[in-house]
Amino acid sequence: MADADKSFKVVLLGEGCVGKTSIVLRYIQNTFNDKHLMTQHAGFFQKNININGKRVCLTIWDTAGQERFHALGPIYYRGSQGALVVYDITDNDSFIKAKNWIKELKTMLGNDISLCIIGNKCDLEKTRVITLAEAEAYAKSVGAIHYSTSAKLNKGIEDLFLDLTRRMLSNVSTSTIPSSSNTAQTTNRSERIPIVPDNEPTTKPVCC
Amino acid sequence: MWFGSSLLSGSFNNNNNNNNNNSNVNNSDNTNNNNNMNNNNNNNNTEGLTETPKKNMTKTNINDEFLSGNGISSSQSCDSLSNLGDPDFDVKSNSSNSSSHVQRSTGNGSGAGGSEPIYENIRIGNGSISTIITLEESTKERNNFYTKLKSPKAMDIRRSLLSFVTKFSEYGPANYEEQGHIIITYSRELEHKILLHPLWQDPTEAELEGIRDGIEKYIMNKLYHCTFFPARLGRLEPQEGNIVSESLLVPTEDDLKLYKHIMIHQFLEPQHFDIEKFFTVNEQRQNLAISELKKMNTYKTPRDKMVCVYNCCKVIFKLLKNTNNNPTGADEFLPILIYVVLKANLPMLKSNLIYVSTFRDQSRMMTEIACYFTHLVSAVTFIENISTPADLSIEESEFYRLREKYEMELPLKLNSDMLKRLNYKLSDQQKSILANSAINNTQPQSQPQSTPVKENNNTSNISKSPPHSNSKPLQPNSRGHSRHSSLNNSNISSHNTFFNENEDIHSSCNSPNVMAEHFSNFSTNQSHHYEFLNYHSDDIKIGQIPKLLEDYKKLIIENNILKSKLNNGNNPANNNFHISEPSSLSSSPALSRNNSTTWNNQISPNLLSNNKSNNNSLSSKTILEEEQSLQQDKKEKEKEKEKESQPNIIEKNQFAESPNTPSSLSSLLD
Repeated sequence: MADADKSFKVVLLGEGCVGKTSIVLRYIQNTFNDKHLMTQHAGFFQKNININGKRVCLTIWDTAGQERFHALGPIYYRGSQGALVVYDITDNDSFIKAKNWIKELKTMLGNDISLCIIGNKCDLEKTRVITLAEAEAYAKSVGAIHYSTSAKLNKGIEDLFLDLTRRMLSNVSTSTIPSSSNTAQTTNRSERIPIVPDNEPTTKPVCC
Repeated sequence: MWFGSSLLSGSFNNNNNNNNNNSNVNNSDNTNNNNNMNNNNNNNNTEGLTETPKKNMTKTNINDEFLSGNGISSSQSCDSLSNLGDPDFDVKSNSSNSSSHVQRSTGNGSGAGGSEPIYENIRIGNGSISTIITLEESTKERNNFYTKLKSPKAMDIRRSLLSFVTKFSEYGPANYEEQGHIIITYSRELEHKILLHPLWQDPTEAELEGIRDGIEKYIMNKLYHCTFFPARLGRLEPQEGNIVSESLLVPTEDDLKLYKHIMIHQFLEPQHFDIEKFFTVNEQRQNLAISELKKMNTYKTPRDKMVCVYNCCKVIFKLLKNTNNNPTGADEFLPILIYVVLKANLPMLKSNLIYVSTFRDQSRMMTEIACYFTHLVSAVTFIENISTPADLSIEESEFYRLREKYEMELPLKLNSDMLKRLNYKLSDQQKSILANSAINNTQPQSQPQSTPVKENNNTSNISKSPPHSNSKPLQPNSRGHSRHSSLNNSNISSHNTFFNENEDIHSSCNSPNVMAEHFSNFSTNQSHHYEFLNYHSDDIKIGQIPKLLEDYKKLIIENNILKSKLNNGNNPANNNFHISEPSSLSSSPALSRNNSTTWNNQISPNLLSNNKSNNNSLSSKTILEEEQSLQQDKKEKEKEKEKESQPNIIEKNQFAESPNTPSSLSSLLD
């Protein structure tokens, strides 16, 4: 394989109506005009970016935010390298929900996943309920990073994704496994067949 | 291990078939199939041929596009499946449409048209090579892979594949997980070896996908019969091609469980998921999405099954786009998908999900089609977990009322195949469940069982549906999906799709027991059953009239079913199906109720005459024969079972059954 592309799966979590989808759409649409929009389909977004000469492919999986679908979360975030947990700064419930997601992600995926807590709708500063200090303190306490964004004004979104990608890249490079595709393989293997020894991926690199 | 095949690493020359000569190679795929191949790989040929007619057009048209540098076109599927990506939403789009679509989309993008600007528009991202691969690309590359595989230089790869497939089908494990592990491990090893092969040097990402898909397709086509659970249950013979007839598959226990569960929850409507606004004008789309999803059963490879899911999702996107101006995310998408899955009630859905997630390499599950497959998994999970109204927008009492109603109607809705199958499965420990369901059937009158409207539906469908189901006896998709089709199926004594013959025989062997149980239930419960039976006109209160009406309608429906069954039994053309009769009859509530009434001798004159007319329709010979044989049988059994505690029930049962199951009994006695 000529290019050493990395591919990351990022999952979007958060209550309904906090603007999850808007954030991603804003991010995707702003870089490409409408004609180039790869997938305007609901629920899945893909974007290639260049960071420090490395090509990275972000695949962003949207999830349904309604409470009734909460239990389906694990199906989506399994195997993802990044999570965007979005809340609405004018809605306390959505922040509580976000905290639940973070807690769940921490228990299920540990440190393998780069967590982002995103306070969206920061254009509505007047009706803010969750103070920035409170949110940031919480983020720090769980090892996540807090971002303030406004999908409406396109504020903070580009930075958010760039930062997340950097973090995921460094996460991968610090871990023992050389490439993301191999990461997926190891998790897959260990999930499925416990008999297979851990060193197997090194003996069978796919192509790099 | 045995599946680790050894590849001969000879010295290879670089072949000029690399990268950019794909178009030539590609075309030759269709024309020169038979020339290149030697004896070892006849299979490849046939495979290539099965897909050739559809893909021909598409490929020649899109070659230019892809040659101009692995660009990305808007992701449209032009697999062998129907192309749903067309902006005009052509329902019956076929290969010619998909090719025209490619042209159209390129035209749209460039504005100027022509061949040059195409790839400017379809290229995406900063890098020259993108990891985004469309379905067209991977399909095309998969075919390229096959072409290269056929070249003499790829002999060792072919041999390896062939020996793996042969060994696996002979000595492979039965356990699903082990199978998945072996196949995926082998696929990765082979992929690694292929990449060292001169024919496949320096592949692009799309080519790599093509190689992976090609390996998967080769292996899974050949091993489908011993990997896909319903195919194993159906004892499917190994066969070529990527298409399999659904009628040869037998749903597993889990499939049936899910199928039944969905059947019970068919009353859920869009408003219960807060998505009613999408369905007011979109009924056609909804049906299309359902039919796309149902194609899943007919394809063999995990990839093609996922493409079916993807196509189904695409219809939903269209539906969303039409109704909703806001950007749509999973918030709207998932409930609609859940609803579609619910209404589609795909037989063998669960097996399909397990199959794809077992035999599709997990490291490849980060693509878009994988995402939609994940959505499907979560939709199914959601449906499976519906047990309370907590997660739905529905009144609690309403939910339980409707569910109870649907649960009671279940035996009427499930087609006879399903019931038979349940019979078969129920053999021992589940008999009690069957008995329970029989009790449920016999005493539904404690509550109004169904609304008059629905009953009307039933009756009207009885009259018009048989021709339809006769014309398409092999379409299991439609059967059991709604109550209509289930009635159809009990009308014609149904070609058996969920069953192979062995199981039929088993189930009919089981049936006497089941009959006995049924009968005992009826004898104890019959007083509840037709509660107006002994009424005089003065006894009836006004409030009871709807119930009376319902009872009456039900009776008529059952009577109709019975009649048609009897007629079918008389028809020599249906002799093939006789074996499958008894269990279905015994488990159908319709029959059992009539039994109870005949036995009771308390039936109204109308019913009697009906029964008589039924009997008259039988030839007198068969009746005589039966009675004789029955009496013999009875005597024998009496002798045998003198010391048993309940000979009566068996006796009664036989007697009660005799007028109703002539054909089946005689066939059994033959």
